[in-house]
Amino acid sequence: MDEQSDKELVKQFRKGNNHAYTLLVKRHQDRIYRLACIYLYHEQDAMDACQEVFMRAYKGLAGFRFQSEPFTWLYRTLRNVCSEYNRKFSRDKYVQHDEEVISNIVDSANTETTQHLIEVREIIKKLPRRQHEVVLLRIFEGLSIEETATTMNCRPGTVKALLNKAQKQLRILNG
Amino acid sequence: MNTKKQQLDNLVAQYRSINSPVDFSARAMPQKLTYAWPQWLSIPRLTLATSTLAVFLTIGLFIQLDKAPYEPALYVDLSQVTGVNPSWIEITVTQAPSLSDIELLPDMGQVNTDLSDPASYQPGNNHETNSHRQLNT
Repeated sequence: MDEQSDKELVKQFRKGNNHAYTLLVKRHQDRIYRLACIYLYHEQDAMDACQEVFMRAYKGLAGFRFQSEPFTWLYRTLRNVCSEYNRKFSRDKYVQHDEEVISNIVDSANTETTQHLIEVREIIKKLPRRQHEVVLLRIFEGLSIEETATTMNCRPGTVKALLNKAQKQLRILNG
Repeated sequence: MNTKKQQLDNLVAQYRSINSPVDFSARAMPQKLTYAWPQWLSIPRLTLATSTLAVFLTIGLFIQLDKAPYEPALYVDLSQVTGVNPSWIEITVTQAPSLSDIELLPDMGQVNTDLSDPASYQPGNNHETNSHRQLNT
């Protein structure tokens, strides 16, 4: 059952198989959590956002039209949820330095992980929003060009161009 | 350059090693749904049905309002009552009239009941009034 595609799992879930939903969540929860950590500024917010995404998935996958991959659906929901959170809790609530903020995201004992998240944020925050998204999905999450294009609702050529620009920009910024 | 690439690869590997501290599959799934609306009763469908009904009701109301003032409560054949040629009678009804509201046009003068003289049917040429004037002169 683990080798079933996401779409097959969604089909089974729609037939009433909750185990299929569990498998789908387990398959994507780490990735969704990591992205939430990058987009949000607080551990609790990142976890709440993930829970909100999967709750919406539980309610919303009944109406899934199979025009895209379920991960695309989850990712777009995550972006919406994170935007709502960022708007709701305006930045002044978390006027802290990045290091301090991210140390809240992961276990404080795990300083290496904290450092990695800071480094990732340092890299992507220098880029415009679309390039930042491409770098995150293609390089850090390891999605294929096609998957990145579907997730970002654009053509594979656009992803390649954005990736190219991002790499050039990073090279310039790194000197 | 290779060192930088290696650094990035390391960072990517370390980033991917971050896992969710919680299993969301158990947390996100409600244990029991107390009530679920039937699927056909979706909000867009309800909205469409309500707005269609509202449009039809509004049209019906306008039709009723449009009809109402012209709906005579009582039909009176004035040409028979007064003996006047029906083409002479012109009454504008804006609301349900009472008998006192009905006025003949000023140029009709008094009603001529003598229908023998066709010349007297001309508007403003009241036979009786003219005869009376002749007598006075």
